[in-house]
Amino acid sequence: MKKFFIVISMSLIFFSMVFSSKTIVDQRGKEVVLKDNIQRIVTLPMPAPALLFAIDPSGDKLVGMHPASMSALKASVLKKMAPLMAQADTSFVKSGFEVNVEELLKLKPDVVLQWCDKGDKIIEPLDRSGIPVIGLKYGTQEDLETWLRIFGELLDKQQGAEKIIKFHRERISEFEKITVEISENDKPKILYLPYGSQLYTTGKDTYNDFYFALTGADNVASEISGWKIVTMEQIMLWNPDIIYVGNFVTEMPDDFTNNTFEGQDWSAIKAVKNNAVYKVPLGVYRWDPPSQESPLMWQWLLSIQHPELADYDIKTVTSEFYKAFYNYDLNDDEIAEIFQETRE
Amino acid sequence: MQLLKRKSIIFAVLILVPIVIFFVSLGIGRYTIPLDRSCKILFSQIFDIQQTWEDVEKTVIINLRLPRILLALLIGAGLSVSGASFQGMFRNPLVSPHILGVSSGAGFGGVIAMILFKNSSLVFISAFCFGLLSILIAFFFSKTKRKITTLSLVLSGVIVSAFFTSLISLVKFVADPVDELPSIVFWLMGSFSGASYEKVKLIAIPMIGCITILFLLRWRINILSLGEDDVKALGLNPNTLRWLVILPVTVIVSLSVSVSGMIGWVGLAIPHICRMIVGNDHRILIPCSISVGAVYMMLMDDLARSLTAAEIPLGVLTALIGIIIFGFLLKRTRGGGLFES
Repeated sequence: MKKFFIVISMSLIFFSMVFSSKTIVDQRGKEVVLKDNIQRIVTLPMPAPALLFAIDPSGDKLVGMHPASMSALKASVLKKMAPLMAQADTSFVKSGFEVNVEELLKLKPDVVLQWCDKGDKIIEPLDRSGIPVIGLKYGTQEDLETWLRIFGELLDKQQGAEKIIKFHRERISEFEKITVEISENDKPKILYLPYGSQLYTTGKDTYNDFYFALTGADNVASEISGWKIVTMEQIMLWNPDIIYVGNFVTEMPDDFTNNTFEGQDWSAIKAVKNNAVYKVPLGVYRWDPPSQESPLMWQWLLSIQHPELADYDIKTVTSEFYKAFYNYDLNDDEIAEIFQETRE
Repeated sequence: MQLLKRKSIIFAVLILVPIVIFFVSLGIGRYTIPLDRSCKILFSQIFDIQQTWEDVEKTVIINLRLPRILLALLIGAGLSVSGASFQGMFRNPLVSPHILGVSSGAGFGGVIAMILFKNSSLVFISAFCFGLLSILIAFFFSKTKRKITTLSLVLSGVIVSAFFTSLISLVKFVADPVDELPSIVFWLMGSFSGASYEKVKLIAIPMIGCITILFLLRWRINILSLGEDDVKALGLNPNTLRWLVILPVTVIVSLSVSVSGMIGWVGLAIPHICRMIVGNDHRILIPCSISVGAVYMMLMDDLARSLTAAEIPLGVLTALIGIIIFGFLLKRTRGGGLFES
């Protein structure tokens, strides 16, 4: 019996030694060793704070973030939902991603999250600083799921992460079932303008193209690939039925329907004639790029593109999501803010 | 008589080719409109022609293509003649109209206004004013003992250019990477995509005025290219003459950066290409540069807006194709430089 206790206590000590640190494989494929109880996180990728919020709505562990994350946060409902996040430091980096390492060290982070697909120049100095660095890349549904898993492990909330991933996958298979029935002729031609009148649009191999296909729309820019600038003339040739104005600019649908842009003429475009220009909503993060709220974006798109197939009220769906995943009750003003019904 | 005939043929070609290219450009674009119909639409603005086209086609031709082509024509002619004048005046074939730092100054004026005001007419005004300011700074640095040499002028141009280029980098650094940076980068890259009649109206008169001044000075640029002593021998003041060239060039470069960002290589390559065709005599080189510059810019913009569904950055095309033509001509003419004879 005595021996048995010794074995048990030995193994407990052994296990606690192993588990006092943990290892996470980041998107570089690198095994990053972290201390067990992460308390201070610094993020550089713009969407990271909003995704961390999905895993841990308290937001008290985020001590530093990119200034652009902060401006996105302050423009969204997240500032009210996670007031602690709005106090994070942003002084260690400016418009690029090159960090002032000494300034960063002052924050005493337990872990730093940095882009791993934007050059070694921005990640190597962090590696040398001795802080554990998790390299991240972004842009696909798969990347999104990887982020959620990594954040789940980081904060020891794997279950929460899996819950969101499961929700996403269920929605995707639901959508695939619905949209496979839609004939090509019934798919509206849509144009997405992430930067509004700068005429950037997103072609094939983008996340946006993925969700337009998923929600039964015909992305007119599918003939080009990636993010490109197109001409007004090309847009007239495409003549889209619906236009989505992205969240990277403050321009609103009125600006297009009133034809206010110098050197552009929107009056002949079908979407403008039919008053079908929409502003992409802004939840805890912009709905344009991938985030935990992407399924809401898909449902919003379906309700515009195929209202007959959308047997729900998108605002109710959104409120339910916020209650279920963030335990937060949205009021009417906040809902109006998310759907950007008024100009800021 | 023979010479006179040859000269009038050259002038006829220099006037006719841009006009032909102008109409051809009107028929080129992503939205397919046959050439004859596009010309009809254009003339319907002046004459009473029965409508045989759709309203969309008229919008494309009149509201989108025409201002773009006019802008390309003016700026192509302006930058090219500026380059030719500067190369003659500085007696240096490596000089481009950007040498005195005007374009960097105007570029900085533009980006700072984009961040502070976000208003396109203020961007134009600020870019133009900073272009003029940069020439004043260059003038201040180059002035030693009440005398300005071309060397000190070029050196202070390098200083001004470097100064404003680093200020542009600074603005890029403090700009918001999501909201502001993409529009700054796009604007600096150079493009006619924002062309409108307002812009054409703003720049047309000063642009044509400055091009005319340089055209009238073509004989004097010939003398400047011979050297200071020859200018003095002819009883002209080299300093006054230089500023008579520098000022219109400054206005042209500032205007072009203000409306279309920085478009490189036109002012350097086109005068060279012209020199290989018509020789070193500025009396014919200057008009040739005006004409070829306009044609070149119109053609490059045709490619930029119609080659693929996505718009190709204009600066990439002007440089790439300019260099290929330049290299080809260099090989054929065995390097016909500026002062070979």
